[in-house]
Amino acid sequence: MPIDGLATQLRKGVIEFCVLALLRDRPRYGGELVHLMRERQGLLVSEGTIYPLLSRMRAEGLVETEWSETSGGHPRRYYRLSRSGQKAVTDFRAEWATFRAAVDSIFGTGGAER
Amino acid sequence: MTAPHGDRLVADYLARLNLALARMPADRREEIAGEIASHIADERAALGDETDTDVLNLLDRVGDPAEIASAAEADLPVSSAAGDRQIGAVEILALVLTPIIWPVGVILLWLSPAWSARDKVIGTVLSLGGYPVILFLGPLLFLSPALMSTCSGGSVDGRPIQETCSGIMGLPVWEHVIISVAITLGVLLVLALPVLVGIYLGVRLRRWASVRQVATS
Repeated sequence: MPIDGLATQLRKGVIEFCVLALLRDRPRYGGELVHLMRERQGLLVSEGTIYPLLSRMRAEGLVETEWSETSGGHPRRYYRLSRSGQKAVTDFRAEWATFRAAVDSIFGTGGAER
Repeated sequence: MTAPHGDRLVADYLARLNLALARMPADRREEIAGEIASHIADERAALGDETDTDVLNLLDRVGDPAEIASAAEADLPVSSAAGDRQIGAVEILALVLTPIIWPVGVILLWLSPAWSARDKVIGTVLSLGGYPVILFLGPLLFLSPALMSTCSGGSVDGRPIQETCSGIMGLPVWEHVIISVAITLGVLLVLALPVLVGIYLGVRLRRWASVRQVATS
């Protein structure tokens, strides 16, 4: 499965920053993040894999969590960007712009949208 | 329509997930499995009238436990992510040394990923500092006043007087016997504890190793 493997490789480097970026506006719980990622094709293959990722980012201090009572039922763990998480998002954004421009210039995939 | 096997399917899935995550530290495993269980519950609640097929599709979307576990293990430190750490020298030495050279054994016990924090506390506390400490400090207990027996008696001015005793010798015979038996049992327990703790830790170690084998295969 070489193409599948390629997608996995590409995904690996960016997915955590995509999740972090989705937390820029406000704290969200895991299921919410899954729904937002699901809308973007190809970013999340198995929904469950977002949870090890969130757990690691919590251990690394990129996100903080708090339990919040929901209107309907059980309490949910909400993820919030920490200061270092915000910095990671900003850094990635700058890095990504440069990176994408470089790749696009080689593949002729970027530039004026036609 | 409802899913007659929905709960069962989810419970099976979560059991497989826990097994697949066996190599993760307990707190991370609980965090990940708990979040996924909560995610599944949310999605099922959103389904409303679910069928078994809905539940199966949901679990399929959530993903293969092995895949989730490998995503989790990808960010473990290399030593434990390597995955095939078997029972090694650290574990064997921890078991052997804890009763003999307690400080060294206990350090190894805490260094090893094989035991949970609870087992480590049990191993540290109930091994009572190992046999050197037990054999050195144990006899000192018998010097405590409650157990020391002193008797005074004999004769005063040539007349014999009633002998009086304090401590254990001063008690009625049946109490004396009960206390003696209790002390004997206590001594035996203290002497056996480091060995019992060693056996317990050994059993936990074997269990850990077998769970890992299931999880890796």
